[in-house]
Formats: sequence, C-alpha cells, structure tokens
Amino acid sequence: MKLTYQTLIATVVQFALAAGALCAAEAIDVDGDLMRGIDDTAKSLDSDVAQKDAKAAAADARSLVETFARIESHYGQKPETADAVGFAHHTQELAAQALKAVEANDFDAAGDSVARLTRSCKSCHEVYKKD
Amino acid sequence: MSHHSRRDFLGHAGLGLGAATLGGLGLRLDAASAAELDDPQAPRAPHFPAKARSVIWLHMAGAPSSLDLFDYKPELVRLAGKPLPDSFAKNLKTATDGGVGNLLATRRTWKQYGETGAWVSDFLPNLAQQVDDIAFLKGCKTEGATHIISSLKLHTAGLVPGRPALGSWVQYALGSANPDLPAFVVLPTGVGAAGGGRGAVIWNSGFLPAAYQGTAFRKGDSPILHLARPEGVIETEQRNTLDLIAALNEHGAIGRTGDTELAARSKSYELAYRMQKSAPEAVDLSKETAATRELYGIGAKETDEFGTALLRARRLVERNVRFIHVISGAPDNSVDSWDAHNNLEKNHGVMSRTVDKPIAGLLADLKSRGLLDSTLVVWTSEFGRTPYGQSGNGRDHNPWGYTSWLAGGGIKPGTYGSTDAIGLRAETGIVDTYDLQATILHQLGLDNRKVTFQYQGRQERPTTVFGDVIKEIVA
Repeated sequence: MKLTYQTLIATVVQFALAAGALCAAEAIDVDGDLMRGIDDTAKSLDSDVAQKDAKAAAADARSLVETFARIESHYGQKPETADAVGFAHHTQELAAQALKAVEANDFDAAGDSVARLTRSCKSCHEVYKKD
Repeated sequence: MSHHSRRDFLGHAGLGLGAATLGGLGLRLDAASAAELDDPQAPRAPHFPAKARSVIWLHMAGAPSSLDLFDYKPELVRLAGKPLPDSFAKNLKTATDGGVGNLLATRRTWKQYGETGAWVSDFLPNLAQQVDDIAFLKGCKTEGATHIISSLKLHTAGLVPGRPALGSWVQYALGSANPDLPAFVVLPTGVGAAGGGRGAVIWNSGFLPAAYQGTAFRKGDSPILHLARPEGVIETEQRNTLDLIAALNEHGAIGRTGDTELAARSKSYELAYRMQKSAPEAVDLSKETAATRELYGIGAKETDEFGTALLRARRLVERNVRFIHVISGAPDNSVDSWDAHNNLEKNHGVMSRTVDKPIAGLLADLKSRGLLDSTLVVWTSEFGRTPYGQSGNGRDHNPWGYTSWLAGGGIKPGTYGSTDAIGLRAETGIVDTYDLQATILHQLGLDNRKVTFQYQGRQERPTTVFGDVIKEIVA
C-alpha cells in the first residue's frame, strides 16, 4: 500500500512536470499585443542598462530570452517560416548576450547588445509586419 | 564698467562657467543633473567634434510626391493606367479612404543634373542646379498613414504627443551658442494650417523642461509675441522694474539654493530683455542687399514669404542658433499644402514654385558665405505619395517609400538608397525617421544613445531604442 502511494505521488509529480514542460512550450499568439509587450520590455531593458540597474536589466533580458524562445518554437511549427525562426533565434541570442553582459556588470556591452536587438526586431518587421 | 557691460560680462562669464562644469560631466545629463542646471541656455560640450554647428530643418508639411520631384520611375510611366500589380501590393495595408486607384504616371519632364547625375523633375528647376551639394535618401520609410501621427514620429520619434522635438533634444544636449537668442527657433509659413502635423505639438519640449521648446517666430518686425516693450513704458522704467524683480528674487533665493525654478525664471526675464533687441535685429532684412533678397525670391508673390523665412534662417545661423525649423505652407488659398489627394499638377506646381527658388537660394547663399560646411540643411516630410492614383489626378499618402535629402554640415553628396520599380516601397538603403534623426545628431557631435533624460523612471533618448547613423552619407 505504501509503495502504491509513493508510485502515485511520483506519477503525479511526473505528470505535473510534464504539464509544466508542455506549458513552457505552449503555442503563443504572435500578435500585436505580444509585440507591444516585447517593445515595452526592450525599452525597459534599454533604460535599465542606461541606468546600470543590473537586477531590473537582468529580469528584462531574461524575459526577452524566454519570449523569443517561444516565438522561435511558434514559427518552427509552421511551414515556410525558416527566416522567422532565424530572426527569433538571432534576437534570442542577442537578449542572452545582453543578459550575460549585465551579469558581468559590463553595461557598455549590454547597451551594444540591446541596440543590435532592436535592429533585429526591425529587420524581422521588414518581412513579417504587415504594412 | 557701465551698467550694461557689467551685466553682459556677468552673463557671459556665467555661460562660460556652465560650459566648463558641464563639459566635465561629459554630457551624461540625467534628471538629477538636468534639474541642477540653473541655466538651460548654458552651452554644453558635444560627445565628439561636431561637423555641423546649426541645422536648418525644412519640413514640407502635407507630404510632397517624390515621384514627381526626385524619384524618376520609367516603369511607372510604362504601367500607367493599370491596376497596382500584386507583386508590388503584397501585404500592403492601405489606411486612408481613397482606396487604391490605377497607377498614375508623372507628367513631368525629367533630367539628370550635375556631376552626381541626380534626377530632378522640371517642378524644381532652381534646386536642380544645387544637386552636387545634396545627399538624396531615396529609401526613406516611416509608420502611420495620417499626417499628424507620421509628423509626430518625424519630429519627436513618438506616435502620440508628449515626446520632445528633435530641436528640443539638441538644445537640451548642447545648450545655446548665443545667450541672446533661443537655440531652437521655428519659422512657420503659409496661410492656414492645413495639411496636418504642423502645430506646436511638433516643436514642443514634451517631457523635457519647458525651456527647451521651440520658439515660434512670427512674420513681421516683431517676431516674438508679447516681447516688445508695452506702449507707454520707456526703457529706464522697464530696466528699473527688472532690477527690482531681480533684487527681490535674489533676496527670496537666500536659503533656497536648490530652487532652480526661481533661478530659471530670473534668467528668463533677462533673456527676454536681451531678446527685445536681438530678435528683431536677427530678422531685420533691411541691411540685406537687393541681390541677396532676389536670390531668395523676396518680392515675388509666390516666393516672398518662404524666401523671407529662409533668409531669416540664414541670419539665425550666422547668430549661432542651433536648430531652425522651417515649415512650408501654401502661399495663398489656391491649395492647402503639399497634400495633393487630387489635382497634383496644380498643387505641386504652386508648392514647388513657392519653395524651389528660396531653397536653391539658401543653399547657394550658405555656400558663398562659407556657411554650408557647418550648416546641415534637411529637406523632409512626414511621408511621400503613392504611385497609384487617387481622385483621378492625385496621389494618396505613402509611408513605405519616399525621398528626403540633406546638404552641407559634413554630408557627402550623392544618392543613397532606392524604392522599387514603381516607387511604392523603399527597397535598398532603407532609412527610417529614427536613422535620419540619429544622423543629424551625429553631425552635431552627439551620440543619439548617450543623450538621455530620465522620465517616469525610464532613461529616454531622442530616437527611442532605435536609430542608426547613415554612415554612407557622412563625409
């Protein structure tokens, strides 16, 4: 009985972890609301870096890394969107570079990464944002 | 030392001290240091040596058609009268009421001019003679489809009101090079305010202190409203009044060393007093020669007002005003502005005749006086116009591809960028308004990412998070 109970708990935990993983990879709506959120986070990151607020900058950069990972996953499941996957991956890398620079207290490097990140956003919009 | 000369000495010494102090700060002005600026006019050092001392920003309000002025498209002529091909229209979202008419060819005659071989239509015969001093940006693009939104973006880098104009950022970052005049002057022209996107909202200081807003000069001998001494008050009376106010303010300031608003107000009284002489003198064209006046088209019906504004602009440049924002307007009621939704030929005929000779005259005059090297002249608008027609003989708004140009101020002449075969969308050398702004700041010795102001907890910049210098046109 005790063994069964432990198995049940283990099963529940495994299920919960699997569900969490599923949630993490859950499809997101790549729409105007998401883009406005990214725009706001990027502006906040830019400001945090300028103010050398490492804690806030790291939080914003981390959020962008996660969001662009989800966008990459989103486009990865669609046909004929290889360039979108590439843009999302590249932008994710730039957010990760900004995060790494912030964690090293190198705010000049972080600022450069943020500038490249916003350029990457614009490059993607040249292709994917409807005029 | 006379009363006046002692006052002048103290004023200038104060500016010099301010410059030295702020130069030491390296121009990293944030809210705290900005609040400590007891003199917003004090000159401040740039980030690196500037190529331009002044900017003359020519805003063609209403949106001229690049396709009838600078961007010659034989393919559009060939396809005229046909519907917009799907290959060009993909993902195009038109937002104005006119819909998408058939392609409309230019009716102009085109030629290449100068050593650079720039194309210019016969709408602009005088400007065509100056192309070897001009860098044409033919891959410009922006956002929005209405005048006010795109004009806000062009001038403030925002899509809604509340951000500072570029001229305000320049004044904030560099201060004034002339203690007797505002550093950011606006010269509106034309009858009415049609065309949209041309009110004070595009030259105000937004979240920057109010001292940095543009000062609009009026037509006539008294350029600033309420500046002249009231009738019946003699100079001695006014001087005595100001001295009494200054003494009371000085007394009131004892024990309030942090009260920058009081200090700023006292300085503004003195600036206004000095401007009672300096501003009318700056716009007094009576000492200009007949040849100079003719060069700008002064005295001729269609060019008189715009030419007068541009000659004033040159005089302001000579007096070290940093940013002069000239807004084109209709010379009479025959058209509204450049906004040619119908009858483009008539509209652009009137508007081109209004600005062509004065702008060509300005460039030639600046050059002959050795001022063009240090003066950046910018010709731009909120957007361009579509290759497809509207109302049969007009064109709609086109934010996707249009031409702007720059001259002087360390800019390399030539043509940069292009639109597609019919002039609908920017295709190469794409320049967003943020990039144009960043390039102007760069020529003034400013790094657009290092000019910051803290507002609502954020470090704001003149070009937001965007803006790349167009290195290809920097000499």
